[in-house]
Amino acid sequence: MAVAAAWAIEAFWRDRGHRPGVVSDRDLWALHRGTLEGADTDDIVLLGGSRIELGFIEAAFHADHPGYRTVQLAIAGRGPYAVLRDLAADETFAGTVLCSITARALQPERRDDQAAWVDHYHTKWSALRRPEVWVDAQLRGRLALLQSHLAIRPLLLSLRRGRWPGVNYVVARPDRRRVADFERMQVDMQRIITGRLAKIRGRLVDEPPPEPAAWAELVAEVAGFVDAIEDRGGRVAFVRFPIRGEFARLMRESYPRERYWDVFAANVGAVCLHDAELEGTDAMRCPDESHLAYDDAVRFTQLIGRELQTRGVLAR
Amino acid sequence: MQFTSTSFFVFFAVVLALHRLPLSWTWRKFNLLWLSYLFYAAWNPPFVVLLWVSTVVDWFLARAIHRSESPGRRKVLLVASLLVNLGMLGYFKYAGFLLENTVALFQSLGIGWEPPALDIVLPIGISFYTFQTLSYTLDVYKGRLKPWDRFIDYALFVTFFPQLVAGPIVRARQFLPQCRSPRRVDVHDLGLGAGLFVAGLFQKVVLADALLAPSVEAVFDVDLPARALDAWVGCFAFVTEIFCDFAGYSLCAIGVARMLGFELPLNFRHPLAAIGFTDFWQRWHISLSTWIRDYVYASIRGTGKTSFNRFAVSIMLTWSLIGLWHGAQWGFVIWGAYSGLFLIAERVARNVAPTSALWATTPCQFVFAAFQFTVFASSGLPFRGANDPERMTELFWSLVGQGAAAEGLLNSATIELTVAVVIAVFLYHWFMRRHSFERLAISCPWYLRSILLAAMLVLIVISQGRDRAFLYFQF
Repeated sequence: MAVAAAWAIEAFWRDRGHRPGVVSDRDLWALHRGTLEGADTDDIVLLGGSRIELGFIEAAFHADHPGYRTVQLAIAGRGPYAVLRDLAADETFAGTVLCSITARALQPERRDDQAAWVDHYHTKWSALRRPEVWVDAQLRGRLALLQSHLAIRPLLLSLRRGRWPGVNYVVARPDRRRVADFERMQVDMQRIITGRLAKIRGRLVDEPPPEPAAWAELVAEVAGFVDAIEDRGGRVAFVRFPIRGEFARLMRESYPRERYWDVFAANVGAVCLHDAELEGTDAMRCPDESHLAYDDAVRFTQLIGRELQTRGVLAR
Repeated sequence: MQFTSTSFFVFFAVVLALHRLPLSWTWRKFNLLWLSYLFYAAWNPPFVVLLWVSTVVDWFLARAIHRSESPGRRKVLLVASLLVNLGMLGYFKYAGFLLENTVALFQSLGIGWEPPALDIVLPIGISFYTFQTLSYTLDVYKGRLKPWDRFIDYALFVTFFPQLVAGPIVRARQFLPQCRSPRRVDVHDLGLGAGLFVAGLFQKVVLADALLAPSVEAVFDVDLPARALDAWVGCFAFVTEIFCDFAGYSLCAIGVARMLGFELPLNFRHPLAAIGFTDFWQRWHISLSTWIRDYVYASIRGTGKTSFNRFAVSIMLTWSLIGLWHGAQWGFVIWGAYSGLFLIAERVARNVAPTSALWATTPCQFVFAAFQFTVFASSGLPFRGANDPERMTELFWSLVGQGAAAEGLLNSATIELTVAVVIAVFLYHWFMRRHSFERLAISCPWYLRSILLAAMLVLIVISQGRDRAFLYFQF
C-alpha cells in the first residue's frame, strides 16, 4: 500500500513537471570533497559559485576529454577562497583545480564564505555518514517526491495559499551538478534580476571593492595556494564566466578589469581565462544576466576545455 | 547512529539476522551485547570505555554490598558507586558549567581569574545509562533486588542499544528477568514492533521535524523581536515538538526491543492532555520521573506524614535537580523550579478548593487539561532558551505582552499550520488519555492498522528534510 501510494504521488508530481533533485548541502559537499584525497591531475575539481555549477557542463567536457574525473565543489553564492586554501593545505591533493573567479568573490570580506563547508568536512564528517549521504543523494536523485520543496510542510503551506508548489528550474544532481532550465521558470525573470541588482548595490556599500594594495595582497595569498598545489604536481586554472546586461555593467564599473582581473592574471602564477578573451562568447546568453543558458554553457565548456588543453593545464 | 538513519536500518537488519540464527541463548545475548557496543561506538568509539567502567564497577560493588553484613561497609561501597557514576557524569556534563559559574562568582567579588576553557565532549546517553546502573546498585543496597548472577545479562541491561542513548531508563528488575530464558519472537511481535517503530518515526520525522521544528526555529533561533502571538505559538510548538521527538524515540526503542523479543516500559502516556501537574508527571518521561521519585524525592522527603514546608522544599529541590539533569544551564534549573512551583500550587489548590462533582465533568476536565497544557507550553521557554538567556528574556517579555514592537516572525499560514498540528496532537492525547497506544494497535483490525501504517510510511518518506538529531540525545 505504501509503495503504491508513493508511486502514485511520484507520478502526480512528474505529471506536474517536477523532476528529481538532491539537497546540495554540506554533507553532500563533504561526500565529494572526501573523494579528492590522493587526487592526481586526472581529477579536476571545480571551485567557485553558481556560475561554474550551472555553466560547466560536465558531459560536454567528458565528451571532448575522456578519462578525466570532474568533482563539483562549487557552492552557490559564495566565494571559493576557503576551499582553495583547504586544497592547498591538503598534502594528499595533487589534482587539477578549475576555479571560477570574480574580483568580488575574492575580496577580503568574502574570504570565509565557504569556510563552514570546509569546517564541516574536517570536523563533523565521518566514514559512517558516507553511505548515509550517498544513499540519500541517490534516492533523491531518482524520486521527484523527495524534493525538499515538495515535503509535507512546504506542500501544506503552498496549498494554504491556494496553489501547488512551483517547479524548480534549477535541479541539483547527486554528483552536485546543477542544471538550470530557464524555460521551466514559473517566476518573473525581471523580478529576479532587479532583486539581485538591488541586493548587490546594497552590498557594494558595505563591502566596497578592495584598494589596490589590499587586492595585491590577496592575489599574493592566492598565488601561494597555487604554488602549494603545483609544487605537489597539481595544476590550477582560473576562469571568469560570462555575465550580461545591467549586472555586467555594474560589475564592470565597480571592478574595472585593468585594476582587478588583469592584476590577478599577471601575478597569480596560473592560467587565467577571461570570457572576453575567448572567441565566440559575445553571443552567449545569460537569461538571468548572471548564468549561462544551457546550450551556451555547453559551448563555453567546450571552449575552456580546448583552451585548458592548449595551455597545458590538462595533462593529456 | 540514529533510528532515522540509513546506517541504522542496515545495522538493525544485521542484528535481526544474527539474533534469529539457531544459536544458544547465551550466544544470542552476546551478539546483542557486542552489537550494542558497536551501536554506541558509532558516535565516539573511546566513550565505550565509560560504559565498561560503569558496568564493571556497579557489577562488583553491588555484589560486595549484598555480601557485606556491616551497614558501615555497605554504605562505603554505595558511596563508591555513587562517586564513580556521578563523578563521570559530573565531569563530562557539569565541569564546564561549574567552572563558568565559579569564574562568574570570582569576578563578582572582584577577583580576576581566567582559567582555560574546558573543551569537554559530552558522551551521548551518559545521563541515561548512569541512572540505569545506579538504580541497580541502589536497589541491591536497599534490599529490593539480589545481585544478578550472570555478568553478560547485566552488561546487556546497561548497554542494550534500543534504550542506551535516550531511554527509557529501564530498571534491572524490569529487564534482567527477561534475560533468563530465550525470548521468543513470532510474526505478531515482529509486526507489532515494526508498527511501533514506524509510529515513533512518524512522530519524530513528520510531526516534530517536518511540521513543528521550522516554526520553533523561526521564533527561538533569530535575533528579531517577537509578538506575543509568535512567542506563544513558538512555545506551544516547542513543547509539542519535544514530546513528538522524545516520545517518538521511546516508541522506536520499544518497537525495536519488541522485534528482538524484549519488552521495555512505557515512557509516555499521552501527557499533553494530563489533568493537573501531578498527573502530567505520571505521564511524561515516566522512567525518569519514577526514578527520581524512588531514589531522590523519597530520600529528601522522608517517610510518613510530612509537613507542607518539607513537602515544598523536597519538591523544589527534586525538580531543580530534574532540570539540571536535562543540562548544565541555569535555564534548565529555572524550568525545573518552575515545574516544581506548579506542583506545589496544585497541592495548595487541592486543599483549599471546595470538593464538587463539577470538577469531574468532561468540560471541566477539558479546561483543566487545556490550562495544564498552556502552563507546560510556557515552561518550554526556559527549556528551549536555556542555551541563549538573552533570547529567553526577550521572548519572556513578548510572552507576557511586554515585548518590543515587532513585525510577525511567523506569517498567518505558518501560524495556522502550527496551531492546527498542536491542537491535533492535544486532541489525540485527550481522546487517548485512558488508553494505551500499544493496546490500541493490537486491538485495531489488521486492515485498518495496515492503512494507517502505510499512510505513516508515505508521510515519513515525503517529509524527509533537514537531518535533525533527537533532542534528548543532548541530555
